[in-house]
Amino acid sequence: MLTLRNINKEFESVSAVSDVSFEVNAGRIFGFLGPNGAGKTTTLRMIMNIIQPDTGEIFFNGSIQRPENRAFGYLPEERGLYQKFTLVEVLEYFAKLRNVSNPKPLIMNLLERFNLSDRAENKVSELSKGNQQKIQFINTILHDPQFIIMDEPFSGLDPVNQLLMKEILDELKSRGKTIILSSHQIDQVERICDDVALINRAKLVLSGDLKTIKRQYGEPILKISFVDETLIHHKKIAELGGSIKDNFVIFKVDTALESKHIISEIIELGETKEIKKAEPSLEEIFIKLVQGDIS
Amino acid sequence: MNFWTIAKKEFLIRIKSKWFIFGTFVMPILILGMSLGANLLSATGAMSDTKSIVLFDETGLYGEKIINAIEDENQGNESRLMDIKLETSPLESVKDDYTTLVTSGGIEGYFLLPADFNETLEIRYYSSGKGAGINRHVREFRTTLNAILFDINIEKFQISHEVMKALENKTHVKSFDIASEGELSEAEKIAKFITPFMFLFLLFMGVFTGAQQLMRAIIEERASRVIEIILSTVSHMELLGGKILGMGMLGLTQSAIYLIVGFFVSNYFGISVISGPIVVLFLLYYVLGYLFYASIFSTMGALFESEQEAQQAVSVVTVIAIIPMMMWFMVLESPNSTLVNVLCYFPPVTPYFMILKVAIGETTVTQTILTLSVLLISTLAVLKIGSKIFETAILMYGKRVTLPEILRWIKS
Repeated sequence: MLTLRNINKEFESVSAVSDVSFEVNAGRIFGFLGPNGAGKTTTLRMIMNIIQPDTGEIFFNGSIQRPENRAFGYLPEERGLYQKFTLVEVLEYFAKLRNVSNPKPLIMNLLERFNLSDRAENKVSELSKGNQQKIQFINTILHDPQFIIMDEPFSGLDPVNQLLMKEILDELKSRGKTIILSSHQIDQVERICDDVALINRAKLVLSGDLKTIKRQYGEPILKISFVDETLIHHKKIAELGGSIKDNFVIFKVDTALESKHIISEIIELGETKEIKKAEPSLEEIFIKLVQGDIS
Repeated sequence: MNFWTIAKKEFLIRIKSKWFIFGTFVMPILILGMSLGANLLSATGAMSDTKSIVLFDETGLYGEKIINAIEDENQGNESRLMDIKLETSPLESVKDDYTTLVTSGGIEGYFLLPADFNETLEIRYYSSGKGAGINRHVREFRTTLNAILFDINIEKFQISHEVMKALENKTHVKSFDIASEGELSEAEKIAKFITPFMFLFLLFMGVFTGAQQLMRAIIEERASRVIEIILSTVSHMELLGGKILGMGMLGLTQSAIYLIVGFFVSNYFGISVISGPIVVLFLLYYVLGYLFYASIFSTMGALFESEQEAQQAVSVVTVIAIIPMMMWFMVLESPNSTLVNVLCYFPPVTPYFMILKVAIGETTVTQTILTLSVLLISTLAVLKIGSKIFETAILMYGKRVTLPEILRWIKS
């Protein structure tokens, strides 16, 4: 478990992180989300002890005592590897820095998993950007760290490899690892996270369990489509407070009773193709929150 | 532990690189080959440049003699310095023509022995002025005329050759080694002169190029963005220390190779120039000098994103470091002059000046201890300041750091 309490960091009198507190539980994937320049990387760098907070405390498994470096796996936003090293050399070097004894079988195993075992003796510079990113991911988890901290891990990865990474993250989650992913692509990370924290302009906007957040901040909606598409322009729709989006009619519904009433009114208009109850996306909640629609 | 892993990596990847092998073994052979080649070319006359020269002799006494003497001297010489012709017309009547000729490059210049030459002994040389002061043909002309005057004077004053020889007082020096009382051979004389320079050169190469390589390595690591992964694994000090140690070992290996080769080569020729105490002092000045420059250069590596910018920033340090290379002759000639003794305590040049003095045995134990202490204290100070700047600057991308900012980091 990782706990941040009232963390502050300024650069040249400009606040980069302001009074940020959140908790990351073991065995769950935590999404640290927000737009570019919100303070995500600075926060992660403080967790990684690369820079120090001006004030505030970070607890690791309840203790202020920081575990040794090999307990951490870090995938920074600014990525790079020694281009002239072979894949095995570069991974062995970092494994040695983290005191991993006999890392070669582990390396080969992970290279195999990422379909890179036949290129083990190739130089890093000979790899595509996406493959280099896979090596960086392997480097992050190679030493079996307790805390896995990844800054924008999906940028530059194709959908197939994104899926593979998600699969491995799920495995790590089931093994009780504490995992943080940061991203500005909120919709993408939302799909794999259990908990989230949203940060904007150095300040935490909200944090907690994703489902609870959606329940708390999101207004459920009803999405309805008709077999006869012209029905979406029926005057009854406007009377019930519906709006049209694409070929759907959208109703905001606060209670179950309200949605029951709308559905009964609608089916009288004509045959429906689809009636769907939907939640707003985290991105929509975030936009509303930072625009002050929800307080 | 991490410190050693980093040092080992820096050392091994470079020592195995073809550039290290090239720099260590091929470069000295190339330099030697080039200097031998230049001498060889010079001997074959390929580098000669015969000048066309004209002589006006208003005394009417020496012209023919000079021309004949120069012709005799250069009989069959392909690389003669000049082709000289005597002009009998008075200078005044043809002056404009010759001025044009010199300006247009038709001839290199002309000599004039004025009518009052016998009183003033002044030779006048008119040319476009290029190479004035180092023109070998002017020197040859003067030497030839001096010899002619010498012979004329012997006849004029009825002096015998024996008397003239006695008057010349040609003394010569024989050098003896104080320890063995044996006469110094030419090889030993050269060795005594070259050895201090070799030590200086090794020190300069090792310290300065080592520090430069260190700066380049840090810039590369920043540019490739690998630095952040490293810093999440090791501390700033482990990274900086490991890099400094790795590069330092590389430079020392190179120097050790040269010292061992030098030791065996000089022993083969029966000359003993590399002694234990000198090597120990060399190592002490080397290590401290390297750490001093490494701190400065690694800081610059952390402050700048491109090597070009960093090189500009260290240009002042570079100029200071080159001073001893330009003054080494002066140090050998006057090792105990006030200037040399003062500069010995100026940390950026202390190692260089001291190794020259150590190599020729012109230093005292007190001076050695004091200079080492000054160097040690200043190196520690530079290391401390450098590491503070390094820690803050290393992760700053895309932002030009200002001097007030740097001062603030140091104070913090």
